[in-house]
Amino acid sequence: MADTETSSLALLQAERIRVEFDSLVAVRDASLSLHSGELLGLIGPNGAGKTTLLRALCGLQPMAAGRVRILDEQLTPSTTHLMQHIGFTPDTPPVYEGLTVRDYLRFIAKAYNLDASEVDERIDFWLEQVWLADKADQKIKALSRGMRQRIGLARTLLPNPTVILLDEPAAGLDPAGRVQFRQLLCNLRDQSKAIIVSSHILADMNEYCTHIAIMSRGSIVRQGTVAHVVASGDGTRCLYHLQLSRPTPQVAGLLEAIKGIDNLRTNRLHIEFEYSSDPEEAANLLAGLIRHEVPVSAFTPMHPNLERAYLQTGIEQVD
Amino acid sequence: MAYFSLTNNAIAWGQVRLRGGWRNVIITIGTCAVLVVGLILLCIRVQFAPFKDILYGWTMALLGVQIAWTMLAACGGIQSGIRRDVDAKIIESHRLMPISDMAAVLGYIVGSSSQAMVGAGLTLIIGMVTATAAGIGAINWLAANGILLVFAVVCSTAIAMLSFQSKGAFAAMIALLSLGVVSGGVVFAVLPGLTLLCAPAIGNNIFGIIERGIAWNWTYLLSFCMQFVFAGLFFLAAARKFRRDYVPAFGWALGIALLLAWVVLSVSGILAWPQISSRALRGVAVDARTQIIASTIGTMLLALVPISSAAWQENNSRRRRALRDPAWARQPASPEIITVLASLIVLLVPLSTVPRLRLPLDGTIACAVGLFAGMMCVRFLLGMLYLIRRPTLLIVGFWLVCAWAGPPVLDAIRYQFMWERGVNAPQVTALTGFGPVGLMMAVSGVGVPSPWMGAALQILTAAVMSWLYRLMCRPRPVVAKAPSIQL
Repeated sequence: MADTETSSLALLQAERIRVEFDSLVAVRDASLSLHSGELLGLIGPNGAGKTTLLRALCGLQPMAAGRVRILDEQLTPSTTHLMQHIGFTPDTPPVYEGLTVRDYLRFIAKAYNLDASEVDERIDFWLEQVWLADKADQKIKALSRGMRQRIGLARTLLPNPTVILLDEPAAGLDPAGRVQFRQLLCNLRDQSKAIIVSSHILADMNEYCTHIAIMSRGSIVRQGTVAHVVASGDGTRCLYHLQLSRPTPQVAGLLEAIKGIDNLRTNRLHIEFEYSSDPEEAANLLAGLIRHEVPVSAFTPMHPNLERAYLQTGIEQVD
Repeated sequence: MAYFSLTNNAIAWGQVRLRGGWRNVIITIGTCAVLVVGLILLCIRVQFAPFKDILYGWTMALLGVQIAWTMLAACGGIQSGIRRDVDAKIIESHRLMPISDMAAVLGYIVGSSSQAMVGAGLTLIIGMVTATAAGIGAINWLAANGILLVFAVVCSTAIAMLSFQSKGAFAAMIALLSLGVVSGGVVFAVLPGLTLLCAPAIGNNIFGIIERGIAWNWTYLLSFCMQFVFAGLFFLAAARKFRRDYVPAFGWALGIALLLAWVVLSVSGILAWPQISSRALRGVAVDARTQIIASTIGTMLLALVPISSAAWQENNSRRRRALRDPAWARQPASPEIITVLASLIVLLVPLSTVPRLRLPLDGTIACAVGLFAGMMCVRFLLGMLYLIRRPTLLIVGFWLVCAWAGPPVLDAIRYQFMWERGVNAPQVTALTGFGPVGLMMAVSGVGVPSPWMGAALQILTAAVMSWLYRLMCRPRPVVAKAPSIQL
């Protein structure tokens, strides 16, 4: 990422990627670079161009303009040797439904020319990692959507790629699966892979991503480390939580009248609002509330998080 | 060699596994073989005809079975294998694999047709036994099968190439072959190049070879060579399509190679017609001039392949340059040069087959100039259509009907109209020469008066099209759209 650029080699570099579908510009001049051990979360509304960008990065999507470099070598249709360093899992991974899980992964191992003596061992390892060890000999057509998504993950990870692109990988997973998946991602990140994950589950991304890129209408509108993106929402504003000791209906009217308070939400004893992040102004506000005999039992500034930073960008849903 | 690796070809392995693996293939085909052998033995036991006649009949029937295995089952299997992967988008997973395009296409061809090929192998063995026992001679049986197998290779590669872009590839191939049969062979007669490409139909055809033996001559050698050339071109085009489904199957270089191969095939076919004409066609009277005109028109249509590809590439490059694409590397081949080259290759058909030029030299030059200009019109039309992203095939088809076929057809209608009224009018007027097809007819010996008039009209049209194209290509100021959120 631009702000953490080191002298180390970027595993993935994208320069001014542009993808067009007739007159629609799906991705507009997107640039990013990813180093080893970096996990970039790609977020944005539906139709923002996240999937198209991921497809372009792995060479599946024809680009109107732009250049992708993997391990400092430009990705072109003729550089098939680079494909062994890239793994991509689409949101609904295509699989051979007529094969068993093991046979399908053997097919993948053959295509990646993996050492025949260790193929079964590797398949067992990755099936264990994606919690499908007991389904190895079942036909894929008999498995649920979530399980197919796990097969897609195993397919991507089996050849041990350096750059991993995952498009909404947790969408079909159950809650337990999501927890395990988070752990898997953290492990991969710690193995110095460069990973991009697109997802709508911002709370999860807050946990495992090192970097965030927010996309809107084909453009990357904000990118950087998680801390940088979260802080760059609006540094001058903060969300406060006010807890009352007893219901006080007139508090809402009182707060509304105070200049600088926005996005007021009340729920009996709990009130949330946005106000200046300056601690002195916050102290003055609290003193004023007490002066007006508001029964304050707690007054807490909420720490900024990714969800809030994303909402603060004001990105609208694309139809 | 890794490019063509068969022993370790993942796609072939996958296709075989999807068909139940070798065990399933051998059980299915083995059952079929046992049934056929059982039927043959039953026929011999019942003795409804002399022993040799029964086996002769069975040998012929087995050749029919071979056609079914190699043409229907193998080609059908290849299409279904490729289409299943394209439709289910699993081909995208394959594109992410570090395997070469050619190895992938080879895998599809070999893996998808594995069942049919095993069937054909067993039929070959059974047929050899019946042919020998019937006194036909194993050599005739092997020759017929060899010719069929080479043709099946051409069809397989063509089906593989077409299957990457259309669901109807197999149906189109069957329709084309059926058209040849339904038309009583007229399609093959007017396009001798096609006959030369369809080696099983040459001369006595493969059924006749079993009956009367094969008279090997140079036409078979030429046919085999050309079949391998075409199979190679289709294979390369399929490999292009496997990796990038958005590019034309034939780039300009492959397109020019295809055009050249077709010209060699057509010219050889016209010149060697007495040797290659099918026995079934010997009653069909087709004069050489008709063959030359039809082959030239076919070549003109085929010339649109490299021209279209060059126009597409130029448009693509122009867009990339306008967007200041960091990956834009070099200027593509000029479509104008490709058009001139393709036109020159088209001219080779009439110039090398007409016994002596029927036109004076200046008339021939006029026709050549008219052809260049007519081709240039299509080049600019394609350029404009790619620029505005409109349905290319439909509009170019309409243009060809109007500008190419229109003038000779109108002239024929005029003649028919006059003839019905008893007016003694010339059969061909200058109107025929107002299109490139008419001008090529003139070179082929049809007496088209004043070809310079037609050539001038083509030049004028090309100039207008060129002006329109340049007008559309004029660079417009690019206004960078601001991101929706200011940082």
